[in-house]
Amino acid sequence: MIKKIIVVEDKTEELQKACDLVMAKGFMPLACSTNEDAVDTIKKYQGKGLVGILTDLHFPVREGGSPEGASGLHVVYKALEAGIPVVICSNIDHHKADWANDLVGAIEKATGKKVAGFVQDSKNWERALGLLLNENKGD
Amino acid sequence: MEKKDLKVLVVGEFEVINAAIQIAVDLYGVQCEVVSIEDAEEIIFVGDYTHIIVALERDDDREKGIIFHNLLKIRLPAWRKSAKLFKAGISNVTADDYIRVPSNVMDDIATKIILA
Repeated sequence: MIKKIIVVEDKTEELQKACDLVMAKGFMPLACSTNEDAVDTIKKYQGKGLVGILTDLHFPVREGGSPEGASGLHVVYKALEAGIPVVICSNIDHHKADWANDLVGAIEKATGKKVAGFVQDSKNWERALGLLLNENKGD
Repeated sequence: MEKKDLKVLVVGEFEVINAAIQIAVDLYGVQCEVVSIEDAEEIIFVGDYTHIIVALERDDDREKGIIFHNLLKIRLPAWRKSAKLFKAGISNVTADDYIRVPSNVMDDIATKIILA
């Protein structure tokens, strides 16, 4: 079975960057651009070679929607609930990220599981993937 | 691209449509395989298909086919795949990316051969 990583990002260029990195590590990326795609893909591949999820914070709930809400937090909830490692990768300014950190903390408390990482300030997919694969121990 | 280099994958849940498209493609001496939506992604990811046809059918299967077709629009470029993507079905659609399978042929195949 091919090992897979879900990548959730609505901006084409960023999605491609992340997917290229995932493929370079030998995984099959499952690209998603909406919350709906991501949740369906988690359901479809849970227990079928899915090793983790990289997700942006802001993207539309469904195709054609606007990326106003923090849909990534719903993906985080679904991932932790299913016991799948997840890393958030966002360009959110860490000085203004208290609300997001609080909500991630609330999800962790509710599910009893921790996110594998929350990359802030820039979409550093390489770092996010390293955190997901537990390769950044020296950081 | 030469005919021998063409490789077509038909993805769908309705055997009658899948079989009809495969037979039609085979008539041209082009390599053609058929797979269900469930198994399609891994096969596409590791494969080197030049054309992918997602067969749409009625009701739930149609919805499933449309969702899968939309997903492939995102996933094919993400996998650096340049396969051309088509839809196929029995509706009277004239879009460039839609392959229309005549419904009377489908009904005859279904009632006289497959369901007989």
